[in-house]
Amino acid sequence: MTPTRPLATVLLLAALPLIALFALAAGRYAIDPGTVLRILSAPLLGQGDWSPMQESVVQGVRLPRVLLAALVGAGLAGAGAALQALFRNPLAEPQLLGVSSGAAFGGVLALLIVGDGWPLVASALLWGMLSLFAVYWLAGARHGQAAHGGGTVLLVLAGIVVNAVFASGVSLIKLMADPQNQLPAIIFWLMGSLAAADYPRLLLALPCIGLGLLLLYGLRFHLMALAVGEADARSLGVPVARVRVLALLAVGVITASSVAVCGVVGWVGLVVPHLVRMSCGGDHRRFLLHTVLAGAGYLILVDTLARTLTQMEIPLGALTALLGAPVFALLIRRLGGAANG
Amino acid sequence: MADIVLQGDGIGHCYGAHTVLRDVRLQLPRGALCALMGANGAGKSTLLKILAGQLAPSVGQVGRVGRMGFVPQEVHPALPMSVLEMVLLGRAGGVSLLRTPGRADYAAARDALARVEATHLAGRTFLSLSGGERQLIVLARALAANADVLLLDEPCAAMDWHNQALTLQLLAELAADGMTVVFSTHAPQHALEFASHASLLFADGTHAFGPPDQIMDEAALSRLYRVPVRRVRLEGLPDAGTAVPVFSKPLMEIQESSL
Repeated sequence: MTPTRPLATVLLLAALPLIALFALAAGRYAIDPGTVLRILSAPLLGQGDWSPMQESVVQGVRLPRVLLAALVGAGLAGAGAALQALFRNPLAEPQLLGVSSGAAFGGVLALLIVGDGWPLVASALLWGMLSLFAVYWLAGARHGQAAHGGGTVLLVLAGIVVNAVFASGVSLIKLMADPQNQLPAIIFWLMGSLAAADYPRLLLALPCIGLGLLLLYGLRFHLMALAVGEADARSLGVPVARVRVLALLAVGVITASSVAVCGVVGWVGLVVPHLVRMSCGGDHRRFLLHTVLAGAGYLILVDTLARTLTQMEIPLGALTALLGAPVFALLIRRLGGAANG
Repeated sequence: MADIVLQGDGIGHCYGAHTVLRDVRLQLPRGALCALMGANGAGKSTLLKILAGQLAPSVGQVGRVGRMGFVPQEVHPALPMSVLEMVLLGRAGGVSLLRTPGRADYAAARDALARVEATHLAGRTFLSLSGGERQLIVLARALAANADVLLLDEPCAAMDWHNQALTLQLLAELAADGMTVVFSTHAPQHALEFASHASLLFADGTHAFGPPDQIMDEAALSRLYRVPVRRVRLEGLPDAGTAVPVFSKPLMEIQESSL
């Protein structure tokens, strides 16, 4: 009877620390993994023979960055999985739906008016949620048409509309920003990077993404139930409206706080759930857990590539898109085949 | 009557200017097995949805006692879902928010799968099944829900004869156990052989309701399907016999002879 694939869970759980260790060791200033481990366990085992430089690179620079990458990757992957169930559409994803640009607009607005920190998070959250509801309303997902080909088109169109509105909003704000101080801050933030990762940002994102993911994990059965469509789910006794509001809230909080701490990083929510579905199966009891673990590992790896591949750091958002686009293309081909056959 | 669990009083429905149902009246006691028949577009699915409470009728009222279970003709999950998960959804009404199904729910789902002889399909992906198999699974899902009234939209539409027999016998058993069952079908034999009540939705919007043997005469069936229909008695069949269409006769002829 439908195995829950504990092996997949074990493998994913085991892979995550290994990926993190690799990320902590790799970089222009390479440190061997043994030294990294000893630096990390210093609070327990005491000082050793490493240099202060090594310690500062591992603990001050790379560790918060790796942890933030894991957190954001886990959050975005989980949010993508939830959106796919909510919209009854395997192509749903925070960036594609314009939620990320809504949140980016909110963030830029905050940077223009008040500055970095909690106001940015709050504003990104508010505008991210607004854009999410806008797409939801435009795509008619509420009425359940989003199941088939026409729904996919509507969804993508709604995403384009919302993206366009907020992109122009961002442009207008750039125009208004003070070119000496505000504009560079805005542009740097928008590029989407974990280079600015530090412990305050980690502490900012941890409760938001953590709570959002916990909420989605609690909803995993009901999210699966939405996949059969609103009328059917309702006749089965699923409290559709409440599931939807809670899940949208969780997705909004996760996406907006991710955008707030590292700018717009797209495609993770699309690529990871599909890779997980293909490799570990879609059993609702484990699917979200697998997706979250894989998302964490995936973004640590991509971020490590972003900062080690070339002399200059590649923007993270650009790299996730580069890796994500082929997967998206593959999915469109597949869905097209299913719709025609 | 005291034991009526499903009652329609003058139900009518229109989609915009298009009227599909007019003054439908029916009364089903506990344990009734009612076959709903009519031509394509006569309003069978609409009536089932109205009875199930999924659609509000334009006019008239529906009286219901107990929990309704609705079995749509087709379920198309947007994401991959296993057969067991699909059946498990039947238990969703008892799973509160932020919780997941428990042992009892899994046991009920497996029992329901066993009742439709589909235990071997549990681990398959729902959408990888054939149309008839999917209908069996959706029926199992309704069984797992333990409804008092079961409303099925053409449950046998995509099934081979074995699975049709399995489904109809199962519906008859459920009715014998006290469940009230309404199903739509295009096979008069389903009604004549199994049903206690029949509901005929004619193309002109009129409606007949009563025991199948009495209301499903040749004239009524010919009018219902707009082809000549003959009632025949066969050895081994109940007294009601069965009804067969005569496809080769021109439609004009029956309008003269039967109406």
